[in-house]
Amino acid sequence: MANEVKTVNGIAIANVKNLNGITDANLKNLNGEEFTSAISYSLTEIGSTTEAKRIYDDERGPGSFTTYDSDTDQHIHVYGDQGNSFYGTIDCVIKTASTYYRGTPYVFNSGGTTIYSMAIYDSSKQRCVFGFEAWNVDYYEPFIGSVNIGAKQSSTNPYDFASGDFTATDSSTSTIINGKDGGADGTSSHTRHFASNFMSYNPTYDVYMWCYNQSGDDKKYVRAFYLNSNGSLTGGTAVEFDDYDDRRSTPVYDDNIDRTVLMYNDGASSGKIRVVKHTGTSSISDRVSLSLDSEISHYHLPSGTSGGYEGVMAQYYPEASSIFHFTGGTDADAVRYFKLTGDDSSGYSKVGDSNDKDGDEIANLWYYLEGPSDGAADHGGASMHYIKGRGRLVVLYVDDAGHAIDSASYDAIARAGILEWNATRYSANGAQRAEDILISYSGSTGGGVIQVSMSHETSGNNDNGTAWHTMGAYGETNVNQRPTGGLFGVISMNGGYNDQRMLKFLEVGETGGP
Amino acid sequence: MASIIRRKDNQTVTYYFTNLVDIGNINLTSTHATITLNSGAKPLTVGDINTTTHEVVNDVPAIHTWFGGYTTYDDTDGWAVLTDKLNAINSLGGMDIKVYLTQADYDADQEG
Repeated sequence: MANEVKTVNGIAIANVKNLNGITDANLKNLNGEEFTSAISYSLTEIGSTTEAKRIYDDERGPGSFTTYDSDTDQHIHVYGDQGNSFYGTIDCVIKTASTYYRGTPYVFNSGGTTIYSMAIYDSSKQRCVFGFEAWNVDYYEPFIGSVNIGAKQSSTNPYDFASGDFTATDSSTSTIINGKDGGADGTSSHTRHFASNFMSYNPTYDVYMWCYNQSGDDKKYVRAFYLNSNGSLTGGTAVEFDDYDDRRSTPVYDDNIDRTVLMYNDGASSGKIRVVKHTGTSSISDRVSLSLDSEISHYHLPSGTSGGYEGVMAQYYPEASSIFHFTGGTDADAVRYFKLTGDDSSGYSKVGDSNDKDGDEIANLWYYLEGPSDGAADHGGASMHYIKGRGRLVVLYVDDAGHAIDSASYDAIARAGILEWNATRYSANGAQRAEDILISYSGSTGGGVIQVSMSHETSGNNDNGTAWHTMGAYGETNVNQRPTGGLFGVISMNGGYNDQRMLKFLEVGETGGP
Repeated sequence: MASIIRRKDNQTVTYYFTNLVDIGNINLTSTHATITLNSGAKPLTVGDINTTTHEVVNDVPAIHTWFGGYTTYDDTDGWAVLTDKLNAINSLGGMDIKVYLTQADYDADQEG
């Protein structure tokens, strides 16, 4: 819900606790204007350390990602199920304030080992678009499809998928297609994705933007897909945008310029950004027809993240009109941000002056978050998630040697910090620093840092694994309104008990903090 | 002995179950498969397996370690490991998929 009331008699809404005896939580509108009370930060664990629900699945789930269906109020979780030969699998999940209910797993791809899944629910077309990378005959290749989400069976029993959910509504034709554009390149090689970063939605042109890398000829491509009313997808011609063999490339929608921005590595230590232009909106063909603006030098995306199972590396932050992203050689060890300006005719460039937004680093952030350093053996990856309706962004990382607990071999931990753009600081011509932007910054290391992983006693110890992969983590931040209550997400253990472990439900709030 | 679900076009084994131990029920239909397992294991619905593309074969010899997509089973020649495919995916790192037809195969790999 949007809050249309900003002040009452000059008093900011966050400071209004009741009105004529009606508490803010019970006040739904004011003189016809929609009113919602300020939402406070909270962090919710699921039961105790022996609660089995803390384990989402008892096997690894490489490439897991979660999205939220605002129409049926269910989460959609996609993953490669190690317990089932890494087949591509999708579940519906009902989340309550303190627990969740998981539907029957549905295998959408048993044709090959499936990794790097993503899902984005489209609330306007009431269908979920998902992508995945799977072994196909001799190589990894990218696939895309759409699926219908049915209503909950009850408040504790999620929807169970059926085969008809994955076919076009007017035929029995599967919506899942090979997303590689055969016309782009004739080589036979791996066509690979960038884990939880290969797909994003572009609302200006109503298309799903994809990046992939062909290892046989070192080329990177961007491609647009349009979701038709019957659930099928129409892909445009893939456009080559780089010739360096690295699957780290991500399309990020920039609401400030209404365009998708490609971020990618074009060398062992260098990165680039590039704006994608579309022909128009008068036809589907125009929507998926792409061209490229000029390359702009930028920063290197981490390219050696533990196991290659990277979390979300970049997010658009509307309050800052900027794209936030991780940088690093091997692993994330900093967050930078940049703002673009321009138009299709004259081209795009970074806003670069003393007022920053040209790729500046959030000073001291990694130090105060106590994140593992770039290349450290205990760096387990990182992921960032902008939270719609809250104006805040979560930065999450895994420290594979973070606990000092009863079982030294199983001491991985996931931690997070919450960032909030400091407009005052920016207006005063200053760069964002940890002390400006990190919620609950205390001046000491670890101030404002939350433990978001949950310990679980699998064998009498706090068995937290030797390593975790972050991947989609709290993934539900792309197209839809987010649900009321805490974020839902999982990380996948890689070493130890090899399960998919629930993260704590994290409500980043509009006010308050850790 | 075991039961398998096998692709009709190339005999790749998509599912493998040890008879009387794993299987609750395998229901292969014209549109999908539902698999119910014993021992409290989660049930599965598999959307890309149907009676056109796959078949259930019962009473096949059990093997030591199986993983989906990396073996074939021929009614005459029996089991075979898709070694090139297995080596190719493992060479990329991260997965470490193991398939052994016999105890001797497993022992040889451990010693190697």
